[in-house]
Amino acid sequence: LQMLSAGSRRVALQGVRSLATTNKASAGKTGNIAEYKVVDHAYDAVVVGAGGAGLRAAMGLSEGGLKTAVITKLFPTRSHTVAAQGGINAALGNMNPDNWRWHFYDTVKGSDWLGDQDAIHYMTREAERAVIELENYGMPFSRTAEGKIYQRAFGGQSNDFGRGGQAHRTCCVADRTGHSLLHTLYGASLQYNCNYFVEFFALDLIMDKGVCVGVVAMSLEDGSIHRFRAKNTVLATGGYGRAYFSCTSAHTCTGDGTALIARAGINNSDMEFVQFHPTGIYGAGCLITEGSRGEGGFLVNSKGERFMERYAPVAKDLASRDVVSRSMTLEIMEGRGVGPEKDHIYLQLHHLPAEQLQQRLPGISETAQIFAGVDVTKEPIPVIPTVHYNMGGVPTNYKGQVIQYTSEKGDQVVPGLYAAGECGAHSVHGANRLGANSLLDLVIFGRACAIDILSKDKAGVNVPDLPKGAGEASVANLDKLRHANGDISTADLRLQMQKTMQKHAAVFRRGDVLQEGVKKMNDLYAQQKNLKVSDRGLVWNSDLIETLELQNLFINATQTIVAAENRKESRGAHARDDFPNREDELDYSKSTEGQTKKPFEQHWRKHSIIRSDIETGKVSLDYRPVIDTTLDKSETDWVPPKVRSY
Amino acid sequence: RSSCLLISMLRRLSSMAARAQCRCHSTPSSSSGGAAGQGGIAGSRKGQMAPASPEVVAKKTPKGKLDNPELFDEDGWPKRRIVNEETGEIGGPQGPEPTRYGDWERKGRCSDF
Repeated sequence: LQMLSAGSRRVALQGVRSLATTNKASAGKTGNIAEYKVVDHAYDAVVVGAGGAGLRAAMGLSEGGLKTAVITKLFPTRSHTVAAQGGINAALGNMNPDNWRWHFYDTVKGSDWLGDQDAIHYMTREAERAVIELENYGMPFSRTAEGKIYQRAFGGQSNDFGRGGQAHRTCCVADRTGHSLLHTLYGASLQYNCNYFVEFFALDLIMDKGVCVGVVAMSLEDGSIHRFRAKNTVLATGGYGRAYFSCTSAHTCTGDGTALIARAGINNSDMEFVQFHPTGIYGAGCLITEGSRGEGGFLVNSKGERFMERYAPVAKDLASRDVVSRSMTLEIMEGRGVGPEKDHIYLQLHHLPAEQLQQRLPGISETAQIFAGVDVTKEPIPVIPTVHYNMGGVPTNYKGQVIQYTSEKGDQVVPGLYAAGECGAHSVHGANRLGANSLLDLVIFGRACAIDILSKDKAGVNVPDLPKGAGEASVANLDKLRHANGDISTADLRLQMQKTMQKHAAVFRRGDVLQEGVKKMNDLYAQQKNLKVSDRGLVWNSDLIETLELQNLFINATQTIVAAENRKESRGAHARDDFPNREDELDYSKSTEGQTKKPFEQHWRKHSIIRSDIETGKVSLDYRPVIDTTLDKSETDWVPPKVRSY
Repeated sequence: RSSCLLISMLRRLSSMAARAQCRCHSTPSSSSGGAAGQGGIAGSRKGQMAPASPEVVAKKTPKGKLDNPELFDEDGWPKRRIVNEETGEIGGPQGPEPTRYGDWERKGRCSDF
């Protein structure tokens, strides 16, 4: 069949597919990996993922003259960044006098002192330059009457180190900042001849003696394998929201970058920190704003009881988000959830007058009708705590270079490998991410990777050769999955994993619940041997791609739940019922004079360093100290920890 | 036996290939063969269709439903310089202030917090 001419190749591949599915005898037999067509490419830099961070890195690299390839499984303007409607924080000072040091303080406090202060220093200092650069590339920010970028108030931002009231720091493009960011960066990168490989799925990193020399990817269009060799690889693949049953992420957010790293034997960091929102619509995953509770709506369980009165007698439904999420989860765990599986809660708004609802929250009736199928003036909205963001990911330094940490040697940079965006943990968000900082993170660290690569490399110089047998293991795995003929389908196994994660590693965490979850996840991980893939073809085989994504999700999910079980304190988004306090090296609720610092093994103000054994699913943990020094003491000194209260 | 099967398959596939040439121009052109494909399609069709009259075009062009029709003029182009009178913001999100509840809210949906 390989003898057929190129002109009829597309038809020939369709012919191959129909032959394979009709020939039952070959189902289950492993094909020959030499059958796959392999194409080799050489570039100066390869970017995996084309969301906000990937496009910013690609644009910076191609603007600097390097031959850049972008491998993405989605068209760039369809990446999940497009859903980011909110804004970007930058201390431009257009609305009131502002200073990036105040933004630095707010971000360090928001991260619950788990963020690396040198990376946060870098991010907040460069924010102004980066946003003005974006504006110069044509991003249509909304303006003040003088023509400067309009900035609005957003939660968590203050003036004067928390003492000066609400800061107006968030720049936005109407209500479509992420969408506009993607279009601006995509257009700008094309004018510098960036090469896009759209609808290519990255299978593995190619490592040569600890140096990253490229990426192996599969083309979705014809199933051919492409090996990209490049001196620099930037990972910008986004988060892994789809490891949970209820998440706001697109179906394509499957943690491919963090899994690529784990398969290459490199560590991930802080995977247990996952940001939840209490009221996400059950099934759809869209979040209902807190304003619905602010305007008088309340949460109701299967008994019709307004249960928040028991958990937070004073604040009731207006308690902080983590309290509300935990209360909802406790109600569900105790059996008072609603619905056929008793696994969610109702948000009741129909007791409010319809005109008031329409005036204060215009559009909520439309949202509830489209996403939940309910008439909000008559029925309650089904809601469940929903995953929104992953603070954990690939550990990097402030330049974006990926770090491998060992306790003997400390931080070791992995040559040739960079990470940016949600898949990286730089770590600027620490234990909790502030609103509107995520888009800033994408832009700054995409830019930082590009700047660092350009400072070291010239175009065309020293593109490495591929090691012998590069990519063979990936193709063997691909082939094994393509012919998988077990008894459980990908969709079923994925749903079981998602429900387990939602039940055991969601917002409510307690030792026994987590340990049970770890056992269940280990069993489900082992079930991957029994997967069944129905489509044996190579052209647009979405069953195969979803199975590869499931492998990636499993790696991320097991790392998350084991790290969550291991961390015995509550910090930021990781809140444990049995260890409700934050364990630092000193007790910061009292004066620190006269206290002795606890040794590193006895406190929890440290990053979790997580490695996976891919065959068995076993996760091993280590710890890395938080970087408390800033980049330049003369610009700003570090923020010493204290009790975090808003 | 298997080689006979193969040969008959090959014959069938090559005839399918010949027919596929004609079927090609009904599918959108791929990224590699864009301009050349278009030229080939136009050249292979016999005769040209007459352009439609403006009345037919106006009647048959579908008009989309717009979320905020007051922001667009009658031809469907967006009006420039939408100003929020209270805050003086130009080009910003319409309707109530999205961050009034501490998160970014549009139509009851929260997208950042």
